[in-house]
Amino acid sequence: MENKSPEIIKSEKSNTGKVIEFSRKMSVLSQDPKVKEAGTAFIRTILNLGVSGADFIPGGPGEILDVIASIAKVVKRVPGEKPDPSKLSIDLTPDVPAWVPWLSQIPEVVTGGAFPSYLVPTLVQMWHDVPRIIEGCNQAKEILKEEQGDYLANKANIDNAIETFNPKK
Amino acid sequence: MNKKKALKILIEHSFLLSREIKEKLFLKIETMSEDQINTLGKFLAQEKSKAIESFDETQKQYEEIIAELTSFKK
Repeated sequence: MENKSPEIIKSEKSNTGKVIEFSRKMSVLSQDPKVKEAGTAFIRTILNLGVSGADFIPGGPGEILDVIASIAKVVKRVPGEKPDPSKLSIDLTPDVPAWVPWLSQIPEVVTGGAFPSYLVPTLVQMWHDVPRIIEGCNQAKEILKEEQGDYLANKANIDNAIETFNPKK
Repeated sequence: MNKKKALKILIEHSFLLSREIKEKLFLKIETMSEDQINTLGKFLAQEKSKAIESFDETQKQYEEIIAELTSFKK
């Protein structure tokens, strides 16, 4: 059997705690539509910034991602129907009109790929997504405040119940 | 405190479970085996302990994110 030092055991327990806490937050928060939308906006922002970052390298893989994203935008769009920004889809810039990424390709062609064209739709999308993320964070704060209030109001009972399953050594 | 009562309290005050799931679990508690009660109880107890420990830190993290995003928007 593997012998583990107290430091390793302590670190493993701490990591397990972090994973549980992260899962808890995600599960709790995803039950709230505003927080769910904020989560989607956050993931979309990370992905868009990733594509934009790659697009900074002339002739690099970012060019391909940029074109794929622009094509996906046109393919996914149903004429006359506004895409739903609360759902994560292949269209990473649902609030940006389809002509914006294509128009931003012009300076890229002129500069021989030096201009990071995908940064334009990314910034326009972020302009829409940042308020969503802020609203979601505010909502998440309210949920946590509510949980804290519930705990303080029922502290003795909750502490006893925790102690029943996780007795302090 | 007996384990069934403790589990009921943890379910009632869990912010992890939806109302529908809580109702289903309340109905099942009486027929749960001791192992099932222990497993669910330990998980909910650990989850609640972690939440209690990190209330202030989590609030602070959200405030920091909001402050950063607000300055970006300006």
